[in-house]
Amino acid sequence: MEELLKVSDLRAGIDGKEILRGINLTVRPGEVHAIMGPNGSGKSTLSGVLAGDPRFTVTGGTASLNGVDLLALSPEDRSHEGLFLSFQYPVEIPGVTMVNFMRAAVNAKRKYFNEPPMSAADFLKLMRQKRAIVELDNKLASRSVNEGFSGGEKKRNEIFQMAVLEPKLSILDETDSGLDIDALRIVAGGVNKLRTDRNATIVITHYQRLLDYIKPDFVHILYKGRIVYSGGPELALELEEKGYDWIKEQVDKE
Amino acid sequence: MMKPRETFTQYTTLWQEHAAARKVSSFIGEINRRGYESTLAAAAAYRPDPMGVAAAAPHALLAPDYGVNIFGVATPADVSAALRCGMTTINSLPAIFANDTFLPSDELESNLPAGVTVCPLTEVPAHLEEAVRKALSTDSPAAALNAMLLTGGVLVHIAEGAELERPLQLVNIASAATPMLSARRMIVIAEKSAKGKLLLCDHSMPDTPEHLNLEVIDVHVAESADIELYDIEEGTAAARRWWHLNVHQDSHSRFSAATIFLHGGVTRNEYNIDVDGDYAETSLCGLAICAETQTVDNQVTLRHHGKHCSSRQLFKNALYDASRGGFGGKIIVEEGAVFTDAVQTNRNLLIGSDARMTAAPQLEIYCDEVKCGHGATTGQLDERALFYMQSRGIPAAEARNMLTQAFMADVIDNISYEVLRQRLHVLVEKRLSGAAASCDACTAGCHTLKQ
Repeated sequence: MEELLKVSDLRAGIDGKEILRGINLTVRPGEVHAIMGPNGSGKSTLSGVLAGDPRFTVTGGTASLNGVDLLALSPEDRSHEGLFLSFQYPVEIPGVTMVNFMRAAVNAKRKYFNEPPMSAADFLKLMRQKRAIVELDNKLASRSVNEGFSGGEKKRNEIFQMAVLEPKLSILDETDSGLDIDALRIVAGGVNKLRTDRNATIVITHYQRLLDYIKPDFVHILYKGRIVYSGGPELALELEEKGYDWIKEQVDKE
Repeated sequence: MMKPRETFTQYTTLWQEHAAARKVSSFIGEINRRGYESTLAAAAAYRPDPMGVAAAAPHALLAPDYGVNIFGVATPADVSAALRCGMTTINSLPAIFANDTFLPSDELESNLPAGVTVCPLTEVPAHLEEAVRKALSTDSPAAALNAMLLTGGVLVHIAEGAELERPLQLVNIASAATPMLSARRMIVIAEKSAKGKLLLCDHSMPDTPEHLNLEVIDVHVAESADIELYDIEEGTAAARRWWHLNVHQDSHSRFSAATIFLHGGVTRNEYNIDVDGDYAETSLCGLAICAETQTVDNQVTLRHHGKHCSSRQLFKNALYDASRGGFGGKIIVEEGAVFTDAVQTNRNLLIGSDARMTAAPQLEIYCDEVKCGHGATTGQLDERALFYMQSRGIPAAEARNMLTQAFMADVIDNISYEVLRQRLHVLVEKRLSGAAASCDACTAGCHTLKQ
């Protein structure tokens, strides 16, 4: 089967300190991968590096999406090529309304594919449809991006943006953090509604909880900048029961 | 190199040599003479401000050898052709300053509300002469030099209780084949409970070489009167501007001013506000988007003399490329000005790696029981916000512009005149997206004063 995301021996760091020390990961269309791991293992660095976060420096390896070299692209072009990162901490942008933000995003993508800007009527219709997926209040549309949004609203807003942009690969970075159980259900429900056999999702999480709602096909354990263990959904349950210590012991022994 | 004070005296000498041959009315002649004496005094007392932005210092602005309209020759112009500018679509009553020549439009002359007088200073009615003498300032270097050189100028008088509801729009146009200094003076007298809006727009004709607009505005806001003044600068890179606003406010009066810099060369804006009465309100705003080597320096001196007055200042600069910004804000709370509530805010974005900002906020408080605050920050665009926007597919340049526009939004939102506010949002957006906000992109084709 074709490879959607192919990461080989990816190394990256911040301020000269190496955090990712050779990541190998292959994601195929239709799959859901969970990446779990203790704090500081490099989970958020991996998602940041794939999305092009300028804080991180890639020091080696490759990453491609549908055969396109991701690391050579600007963050905006990675988005156009079908990558989406749901931020662990969505950024507040005072003075930029959600409507203008989304219009700029939608039309930038259309421009990238040599399509004319979307008409105002079509755009509003698109917003309405996609908001329904995560039950996002229409009132938020006229507000500044994420400004004054509750924790749950911010995460629902991330999934709303994902719904609008229709990415091929979505990376959900700790999307469950700061969510109560109702918000978690809505967010996870939104992600599940957007799943098709042509797109794929990487769920980065600390806890098993989210995986009760978004069922992974594969579970990877990231530790000290490497994927040290991969398995099926049962691995997440095992982690929930036994914690990370047995993994740490096993790896540190080697 | 000329010494700083010689940049002034080159003009006093010129004036002195030609004073006898000048043909001006006795009223204007008297103002010129007063300006001459004041300029000599100003030149003698002049010391360059070590804190200021060098290019926008008075002596730097005056240094080039500008031609001066010493004999008061009027610049002929077709007013209606000059006013096909986009800004005139805001339901204003327009007039122009063609260099230093004031020319009203038919629209203005036939729609002036009762109690409102707008006339050149050469035609001030006898009963208003004394009020004009009193309002016309010569106690700052800019005002002194302007008074010495002025040949025309305009008076806006709003009688007690009268209202200038449609804004008076004064379009300043610089148009010359050689380097010119244009002395423009506007005197605004709002009598008790009068109201009015004024909009000033600076333009330069594309081929005009380096020119200095020496613009002085004297405003007297009498008891319970309310004046709003907006100034939009859209000159060329050859424009040099020394703008001086001199305001006196009586009790219960309101005054607000906003200077918006979208295009130009080097600009010095001086605000000199005296709040003489009690319970008065003052709002001063400034917004500048500078690129290349453009320079804008806003210097504010606001004196609170009266009790229970409030003042708000909000100045923001977005500096691209190697542009320069300056802000000097002085609030002086005089003895006896109890319950003053003064806030001054200056925020600057350095977007270009060679851009520089000089900010010097100051408070001088000679009175207890006051509330004063000031804040000045200079920083860069929020990198996290930029990456967040890029990660959604918004190209970096567009994201930067959206963030800059957001940064500027509150200054524009402060403008209470709605038509102008909406227009400004559009102009700023156009400016940031790279389109020339005014003349160059405009299809009205008013690039020649005469048709």
